[in-house]
Amino acid sequence: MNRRDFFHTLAGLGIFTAGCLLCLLKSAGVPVFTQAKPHPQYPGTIKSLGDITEDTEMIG
Amino acid sequence: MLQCELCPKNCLIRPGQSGDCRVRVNMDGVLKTVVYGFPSALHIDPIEKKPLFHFIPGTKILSLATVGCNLHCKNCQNWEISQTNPEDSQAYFLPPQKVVEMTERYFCPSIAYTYTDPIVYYEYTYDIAVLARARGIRNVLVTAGYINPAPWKKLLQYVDAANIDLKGITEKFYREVCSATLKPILDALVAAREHGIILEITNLLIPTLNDDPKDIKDLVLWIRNNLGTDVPLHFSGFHPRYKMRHLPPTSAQTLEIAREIALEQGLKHVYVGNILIRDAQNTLCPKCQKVVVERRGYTIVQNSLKEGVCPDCQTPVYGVWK
Repeated sequence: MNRRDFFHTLAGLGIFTAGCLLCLLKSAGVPVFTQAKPHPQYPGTIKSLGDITEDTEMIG
Repeated sequence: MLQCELCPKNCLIRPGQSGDCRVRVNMDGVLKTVVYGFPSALHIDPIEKKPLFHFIPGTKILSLATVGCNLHCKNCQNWEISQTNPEDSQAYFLPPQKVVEMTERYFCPSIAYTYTDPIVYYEYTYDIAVLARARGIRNVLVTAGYINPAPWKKLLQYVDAANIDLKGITEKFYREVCSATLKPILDALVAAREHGIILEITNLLIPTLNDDPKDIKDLVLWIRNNLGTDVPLHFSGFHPRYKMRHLPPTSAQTLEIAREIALEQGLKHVYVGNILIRDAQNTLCPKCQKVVVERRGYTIVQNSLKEGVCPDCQTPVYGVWK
């Protein structure tokens, strides 16, 4: 390995390590959730419920 | 900032923002679901429409969905509700108990969590499913199966049947068309099969994107080798929708070729949907090939199964038949 390759490798490793550290710092202390709590209010509009019929537009 | 670990996207969500699904929101450091109890779609469908052909055929199923989805398929057929924000949509107020009461009032033996993806309204699905199970009502998921293993395992305890989309068999297709990844879906399929629920699979064939016979064969082989030959496979026809209006509908010939490939590889129950092809919706006895359930569209023309077995050769047919 010549001197230029050595410094390129070193710079690459440095950037990689900095990236790892940043990522670790970013995720440290971030609370993790699988379950979400219900929010009592719908952000959109509530519509009234009539008779339920077969769907003719949607798939599945 | 917080992280939602429900699905493999594992979204990091800033205060006041939602995850990629649009419906799971960071409110003051707490993950909230803003669609719990608020379905935007509510219908009573034939169960064959899900499509489920091997689970209590000929019955009606209460079908609901909230807005939002964790996938963003460019061909989405229900994009008006799956790809919209809750604040831009209308919804009913229907807590889990009311859903179960309504299911009983309309004499439906089952509930489908469908149209968008029940994964994103997970808590609502789960709570309804628990109540429904206690009342003898069956639970059906229609999903892309893009969920992390732990919540999937927890939900499966209350699921009786599922139709899971296997939209393609390449990572490229899932990334470029659906903004998702393949591996978690394959894992979810295996987990569902191992759990023992009635499982059916849908593969929607989109011209030029996933209809290459090699891809179809790879998908079929994966199913055969990982889930077995009993699991029904529905090849479904694409119609130009949403961001894929430039592609033509799937031809009947492509669907027939796909069906032939799957049958050649040993799958026992292979159907064609979204297009009428003669005999491609009938269930045959896997041993003597007698037509045991004859269908036309979503209608059962004849069901000659006796206690789930072929009346001629007594071979059991995969499914729950009543």
